[in-house]
Amino acid sequence: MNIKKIYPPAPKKKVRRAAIIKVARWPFVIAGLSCLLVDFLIGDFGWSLIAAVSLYIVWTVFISPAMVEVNPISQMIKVAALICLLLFVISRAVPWKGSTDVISIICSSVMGISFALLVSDYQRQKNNVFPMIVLCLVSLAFSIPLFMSREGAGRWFYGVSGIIGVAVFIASVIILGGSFFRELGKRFHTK
Amino acid sequence: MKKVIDDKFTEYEASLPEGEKESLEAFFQDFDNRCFLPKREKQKLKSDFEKVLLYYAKEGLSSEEAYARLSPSKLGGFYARPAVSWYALEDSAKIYPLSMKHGEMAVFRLSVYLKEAVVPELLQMALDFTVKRFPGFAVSLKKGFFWHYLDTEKIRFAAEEEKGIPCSPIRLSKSGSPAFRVLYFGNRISTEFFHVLTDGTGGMQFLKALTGEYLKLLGAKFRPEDGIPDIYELPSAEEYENAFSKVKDAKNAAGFVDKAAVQMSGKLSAVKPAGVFHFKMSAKQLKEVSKRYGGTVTNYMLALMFIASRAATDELNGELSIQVPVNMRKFYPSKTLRNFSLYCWVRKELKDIGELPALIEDIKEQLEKRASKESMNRMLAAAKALVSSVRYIPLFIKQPVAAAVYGFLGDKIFTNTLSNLGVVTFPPELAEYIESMDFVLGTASTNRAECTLVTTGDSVTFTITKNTKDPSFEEKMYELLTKDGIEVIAEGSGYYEY
Repeated sequence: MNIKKIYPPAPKKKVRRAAIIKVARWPFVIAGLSCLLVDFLIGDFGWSLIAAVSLYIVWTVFISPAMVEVNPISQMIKVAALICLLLFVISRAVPWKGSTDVISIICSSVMGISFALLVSDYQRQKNNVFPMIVLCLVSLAFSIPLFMSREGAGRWFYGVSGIIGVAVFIASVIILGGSFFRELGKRFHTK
Repeated sequence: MKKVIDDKFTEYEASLPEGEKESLEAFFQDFDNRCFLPKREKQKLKSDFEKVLLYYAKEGLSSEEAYARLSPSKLGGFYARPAVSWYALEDSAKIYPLSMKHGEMAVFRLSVYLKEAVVPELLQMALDFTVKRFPGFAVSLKKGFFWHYLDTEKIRFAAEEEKGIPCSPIRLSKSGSPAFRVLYFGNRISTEFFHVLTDGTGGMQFLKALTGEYLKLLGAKFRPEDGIPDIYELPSAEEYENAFSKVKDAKNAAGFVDKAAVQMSGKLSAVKPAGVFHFKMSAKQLKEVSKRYGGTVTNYMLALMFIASRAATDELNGELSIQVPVNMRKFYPSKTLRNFSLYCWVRKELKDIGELPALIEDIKEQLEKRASKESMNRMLAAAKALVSSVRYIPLFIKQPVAAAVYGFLGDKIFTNTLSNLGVVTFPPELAEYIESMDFVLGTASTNRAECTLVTTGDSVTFTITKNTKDPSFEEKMYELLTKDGIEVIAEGSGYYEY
């Protein structure tokens, strides 16, 4: 059987993500399980959780990133959320009262930067605001009880992140107008 | 490159007599009034017009004729209106984004081979004009809280020279990335679609419209008729409906799972596909041979595939199973351009694969039963029930579970696939420009081959997409076809050297 070639030659071999994932999968699983095993033996699960979250962050951000909707807003919020999760886990393992303060600072900054991105590149980013809206609402939901329950100057971290959350949310609704509600309809459809 | 085009166009503009300069200005004024894309996209679209005007000038076409062929009114209001529509995925399409992974995506390709080399500038322009007729394809895949969905994108979609491997995954991650691509290579125009957008029937409508518009820009004249979508017609709601919702639920849902089938031997290639092969034959000859054995073309090809699959496996026991997609439009007439197909499968014990006439008879009986309206309705009811049961589960939970289940089950219940798109017709004025067509299925995860058939005029193309470099299957198919007296022209990519 003689085949007449009618396709261009294959492009130069390059390192493919699928191959990296295939190779990296088992070291990651083994590393995670080893942490669990060591913690099981020493009877303390704190640091294995930190290791597991860290491994997950490396996996989901660098090795196997999302295949849909990778844009500056979504990526920044995803990374921020993962860092906040890691900080939270660290604060559980190592007694550290200031973790929620740092989390609120991170959230406030990310909300501000996302909003700046929306305004500076409105045409392209107007359909990518959903993660920012969610962050605003989550931030607000955590800020109010923390602001009420804490005392002293430190409580203002939460006050500020709550205010930024409300401000960004309202400003987004105004800027997006009808698109905002359309966006909600799309994102929460169950059809 | 852009600078060269700009310079050439400035030169061209300067060379025009005064009256024509005014016409050109009016032409681009008209364009400006119809295009409200972001600056960069608008510039790309404008540049497409400039390139074609330069091409026409080089070909010696008069300015009036060039303006008439390229009239910006052909853009309609598509590029003037903001993107507001969105589409929920139909029941059968929901699995594609859930099961895709890096390097593996359900992509299929439809190609048309012209008698002359493709003019890239004209193809790009044809795409700019055609896309407005298919707003459901001008979309980007997005993640909702419960399901993925398709969000309309207003950009200038690009027709690119083919450089990669056929049906390679489409990059969806970038903001506004389309879920299809248009490629050209030599005399071939190809469209590759992520299955989430459409099925073979819908994709073929797009390719026909694109080819028709391309040939029109080249100077072909034909009247819009049934065979080819009129790009100046408004898209209808029916074309983007979820046609599955029209089907009344069957009482007994059934049909997704079966026992694992025997797979052809051969190491799975790291890069998929390992190769693509087309067997081009005379439709008349193939039909005659099939008839001689008392079967249809599909029955006959399925029978040959069973024999060739047996020759390509080291297993001695077990069942071979070939998946056969079923176009639901034949049971429920619909104009939908979205997915409206399901599938059935034909199974055969390895030890029972014998003489062709008996095999064809058995396949015919199995297909009559399994591809019947009742069977499809039962499968559809199962699909609907499954979708409905996970409707309110957030996507971030559903996605890893679906990926794991799909990774475990995948396509293991099949050995191979045969998707027959049937006869594709073109108006006679266009048919004279067209040599043949082909249809390539993207790769499965464990099946070593996937096959398709498509016919246009007297040319039928049987395509094999391979996932392994073991040549046994395609060689046996070639041998069987030629043994039956069918003249086969074998073309393809060869095996990719990775």
